[in-house]
Amino acid sequence: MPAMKWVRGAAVATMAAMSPGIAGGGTAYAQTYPSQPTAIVVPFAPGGRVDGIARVLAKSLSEQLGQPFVVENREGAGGATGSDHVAKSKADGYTLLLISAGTHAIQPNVNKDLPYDSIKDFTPIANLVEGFTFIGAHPSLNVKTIPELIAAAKAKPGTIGFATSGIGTYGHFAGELLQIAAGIKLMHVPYRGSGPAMTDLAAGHVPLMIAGEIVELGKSGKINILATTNETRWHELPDTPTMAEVGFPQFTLNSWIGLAGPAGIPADIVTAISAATEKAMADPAVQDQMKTLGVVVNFMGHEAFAKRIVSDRAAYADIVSKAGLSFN
Amino acid sequence: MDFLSNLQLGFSVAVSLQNLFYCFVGTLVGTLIGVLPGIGPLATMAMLLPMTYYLPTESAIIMLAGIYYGALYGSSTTAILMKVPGESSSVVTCLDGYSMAKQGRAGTALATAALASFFAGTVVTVLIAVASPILTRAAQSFGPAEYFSLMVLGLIAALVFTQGAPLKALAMVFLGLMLGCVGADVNTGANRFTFGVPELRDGLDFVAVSMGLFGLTEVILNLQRRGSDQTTTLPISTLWLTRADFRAAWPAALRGTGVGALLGILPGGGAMLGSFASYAIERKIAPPAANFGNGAIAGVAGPEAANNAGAQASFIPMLSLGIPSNAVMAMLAGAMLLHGIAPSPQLATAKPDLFWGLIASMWIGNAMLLLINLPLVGLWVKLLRVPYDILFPLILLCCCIGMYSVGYSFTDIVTLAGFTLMGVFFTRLDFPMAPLMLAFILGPMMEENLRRAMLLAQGDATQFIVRPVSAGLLAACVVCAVLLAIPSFRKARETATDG
Repeated sequence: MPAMKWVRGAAVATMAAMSPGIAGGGTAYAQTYPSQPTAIVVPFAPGGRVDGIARVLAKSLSEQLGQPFVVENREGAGGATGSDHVAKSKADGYTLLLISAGTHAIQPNVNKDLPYDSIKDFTPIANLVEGFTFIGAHPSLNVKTIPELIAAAKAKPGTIGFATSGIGTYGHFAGELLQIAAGIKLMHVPYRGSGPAMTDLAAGHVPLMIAGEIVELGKSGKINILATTNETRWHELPDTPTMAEVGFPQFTLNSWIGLAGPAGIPADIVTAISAATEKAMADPAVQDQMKTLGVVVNFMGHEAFAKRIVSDRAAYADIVSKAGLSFN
Repeated sequence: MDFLSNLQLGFSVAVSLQNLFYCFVGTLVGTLIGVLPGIGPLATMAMLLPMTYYLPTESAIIMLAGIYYGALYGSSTTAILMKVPGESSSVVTCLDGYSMAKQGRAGTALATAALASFFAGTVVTVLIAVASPILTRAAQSFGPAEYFSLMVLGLIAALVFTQGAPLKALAMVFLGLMLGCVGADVNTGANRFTFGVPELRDGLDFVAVSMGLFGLTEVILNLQRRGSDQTTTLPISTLWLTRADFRAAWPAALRGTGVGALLGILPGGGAMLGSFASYAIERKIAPPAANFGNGAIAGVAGPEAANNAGAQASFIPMLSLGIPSNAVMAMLAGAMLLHGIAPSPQLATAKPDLFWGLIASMWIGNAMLLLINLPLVGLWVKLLRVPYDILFPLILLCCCIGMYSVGYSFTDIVTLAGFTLMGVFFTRLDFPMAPLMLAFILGPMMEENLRRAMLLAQGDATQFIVRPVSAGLLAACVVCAVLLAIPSFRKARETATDG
């Protein structure tokens, strides 16, 4: 019967496809990786910066490696839900995760109830980009530079509010660092996400905001961007100084985004993904797309990345204790 | 005139064969997604996003936007047929819409919803084209203090929904407020009432609560009512509106559009507030003959117009300031970013093709949705003729799958079951569910805005009365409260003087 022939043919084909895996053992994995679609989990809602970065990367990896790389959004608990899902997934290289300084260096210091350890439960694969954070002021505050802001804050201690996208975000930590470094007292006004915060900033209900997303408002002149908290200036705002340039060289805030997977991914698969990612990040088209998303490409291999996660988690713990922040 | 030439540019972009096709695809997919409980426009847009990489930006945004307002048209279908609100703004449609379905007027309700939504969509599209900068500036005058007063007014209006004892509605309002407290606190990051369950850090899921309290509760109550007779169906339905229906519906749609557009430009919860407000207004001004709560057509026309007006108006902050006002707008902003366009205050001047093309396609999308949905009314109505013992497991299955598809979380299913039990318990005791839903949604927003207003004003509580808009809203609260109390005062006085 023709149906039987078809079934037999399918069985033979399946066994033939499986044989490299069965015969090869460990090292053959890298040669056959990827042999099925891979999920890149983004622990945030679609449409955000991390989501955009993941999609650009997924497109490039799909083209390079010939298998679909699909973005899966699993948002919740500030990135903890998606991270937890990946931490408990199979470590075969087919479930990856976009991690950020926020989810893996800051969150462990803010939320003591995390169901995973951000260092032990993950395999770092590569650092992708650096995010930019800006300090912006509404025109009604009448400050155009950081020294002016510090003077205004000293004149009215504890009354000037700075909006952020939430507790434990870069903006929050930048604000705390600023207060420690300049010896001033501001008032933190947290919002649920950057959208509502930017709305109030644009309307002037809150005088300051520290976040990355305010760059467009600054470019259009609706607000004044006083400085960026990164090590270099942002290319679209060539006149906006860095915090180091206005007299705070110790003020560096690392807000990176990288690729990781569950702990225990075989080393050769890590190398394969890392190499493909490096090629993707070196592509000028990808670099331009990243710039539109408000980040700058900065590729680091998995060893350097692993060290960075460890040192940043300790650095943020240090800020928490120095600023006397408590999250419960 | 500048405005006419802009619209001409917009239509020339939107009416290209390619863009018309993608508009149709988006609205069709959106409608189907809206009908399925649980899965919403956001997840669908994320799934279709990779498909848009290879499209020109205008086509991509037109299609994604079509999914959004298509989902609203579709979600009123489940609200009317199964009392399952597809989106938060369809909760009020569940009330009178489902009652109309039980009376055999499901077709009328569906047609009314589609027509009212189309009317609202047309009006707001014109509004966006003409008055976007003015509306934006008006919206910016709403600070945390004004939002707080608006929420208080909304909660007092929740008592207007009472069909029985006001005290029971008040109890439900407080229960809703308590349930809304679950989650992470915005000002301190502390976990409130999460009992160590990490999924509860974001609060109880709206989909679980609404499907449990409305849709699945109704399934269980129906089964209890029918007893042994499982094979009867809902009454056979009319398909269109009578002249009396039209006369009752169109003023409601007009008012709903106004309320929805006004509240929709306020970022954060605009579409939903508009539909609740419209229902409260219609209920207050309806003659007793309209039988509100038991199938008044104004109770469908007004809120449906309001929620579509609100949804389209929520495009305004993103188009004029580059700030997304809800998760769907953030998704659209993300799609624009992937195409190399950063949403900014200068979008209208920097990319007029995209800006005006999107506005023109909003109207075209609404027209397409009307053409898609009106013929489908007959199809949906046929679904009601399926025997209930086959229909209800399908409803149950769709709800569970829809719930699981939101977050792949078993906790959500447990929450769904818990709220179903709660809904059955309270509904059997004649407690109204709508005030609970409203308080559940508005309560957290009210608290957040109160604390933020106090923070920004350095603890000055007089700001709520000194700021004009806030003072006006609070005065309206007082008036509402008095109006609610007067009938009971009069009754008490009458019984006292009668001896």
